[in-house]
Amino acid sequence: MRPVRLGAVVVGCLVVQLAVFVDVRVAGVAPELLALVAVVTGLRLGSEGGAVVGFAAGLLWDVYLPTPLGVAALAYGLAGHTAGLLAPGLHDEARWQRAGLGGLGSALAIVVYAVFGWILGHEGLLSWRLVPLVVVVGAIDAVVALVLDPLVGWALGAPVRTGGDGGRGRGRLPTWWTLRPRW
Amino acid sequence: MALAHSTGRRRYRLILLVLTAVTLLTLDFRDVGPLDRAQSGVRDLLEPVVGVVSTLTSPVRGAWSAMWDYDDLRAENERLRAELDAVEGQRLQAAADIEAYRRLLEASDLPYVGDLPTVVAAVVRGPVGNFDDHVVTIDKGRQDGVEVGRAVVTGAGLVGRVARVDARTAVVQLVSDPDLPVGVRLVATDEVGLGHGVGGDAGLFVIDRGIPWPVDDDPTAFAAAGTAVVTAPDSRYPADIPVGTVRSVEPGEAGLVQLVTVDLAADVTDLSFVSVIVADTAGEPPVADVPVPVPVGTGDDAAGEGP
Repeated sequence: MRPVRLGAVVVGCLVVQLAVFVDVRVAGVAPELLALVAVVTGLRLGSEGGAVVGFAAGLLWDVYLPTPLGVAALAYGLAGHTAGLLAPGLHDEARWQRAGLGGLGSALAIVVYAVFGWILGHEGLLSWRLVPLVVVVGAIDAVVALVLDPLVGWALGAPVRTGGDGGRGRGRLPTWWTLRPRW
Repeated sequence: MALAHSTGRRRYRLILLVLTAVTLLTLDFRDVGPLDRAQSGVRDLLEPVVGVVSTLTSPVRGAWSAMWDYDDLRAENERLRAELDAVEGQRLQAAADIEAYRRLLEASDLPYVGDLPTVVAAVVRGPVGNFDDHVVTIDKGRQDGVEVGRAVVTGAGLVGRVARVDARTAVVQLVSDPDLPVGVRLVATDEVGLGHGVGGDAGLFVIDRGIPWPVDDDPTAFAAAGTAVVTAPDSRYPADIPVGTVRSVEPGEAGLVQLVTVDLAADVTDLSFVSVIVADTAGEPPVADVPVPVPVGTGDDAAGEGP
């Protein structure tokens, strides 16, 4: 793992979320890039790495959210951890499968975030509006994962073993999968 | 053996992360100063980067908006043209009315909000996430004299209050937010109540506390549709800032209070520039909770506006 690269990707996602996805939305819904980073990192690094990176990404996002500091950190950390636990069960490493899991994990992350926020007194977070929000976020993040997952792969340093066992369980990723810029 | 060790270590780290999150939540709830300053510092650090990326990507964002919001923009353009025609005809009458209004306020010893010092700010972005629909970020902050709790207005009326301040930016909680209570006064009946946004409709505001339902259903006790609603004298905001106009009045909780639906004067969904009132009339701390008087016998326990 290359922490500097990974940190740059996380901060980059935050900046893009703040600068671009305030306006670029689908049906009024923005992708949840930080949640997606947590999930795809979990899928690549395993549960431990997913939890740590998810926690850090969520903590950074918390700085901008109306909920108390730590809510998104907790939610995204758990999402990264869960994604890492699911990783050994993957039958193959097809690109669509990762993208789908990225979308699903992001949707799960925002549900957990909404529940934690609701418990802490932000009652507006848990409403019927959450249902379409989760569906749209899942769909958008599945598409965004097609770009973000290779970027995370590059940040982690290729090749990276996958699996929730910390890297012992499964084979290497296909070489085409990892982004390898020439600069 | 090694696998068990690894599993134990993972579990230990996960517990550590959960405990860290709980600690941060606790500190944040207690408003620990260094934590607030650290968050503000992170935002200040990233703001120039966000600004540059925002500028660089503005063509993309503009194209996206044009692609998806073209019909809305055309309809809005036509509506604005019609409004402009109407406004032009009313301009002279309005000038006379404003002058009369100022004289009335002066005679009543009430401050005129137009005389209070303000800082004009541009809205740099809307909601950043999927859960905070009722906030905007403005390009003025602590360095410009903006403080938490200050009222934010446009020419049309109250827009919201400053919820968070960084060095060069601030976040404004909009009046459409259901979690932002505002003390208001019905100009027609001179009654004071407490209202809030509706949430689903950013143009509506509901006064549901503090105004009793008349015992004999006297129709003269109700504010007529179209009459003005302004901030109350005992509100946390300067008095008499326009909030909106009455749309309807119906019985509220258990028929004891009036439920007044108000059309907000300011369009909070399309803000470009706002003014932050940087001094209040009473010279009191802007975040202080000032209770709104509740008429006896309403059964309503409306107290002050929230934090």
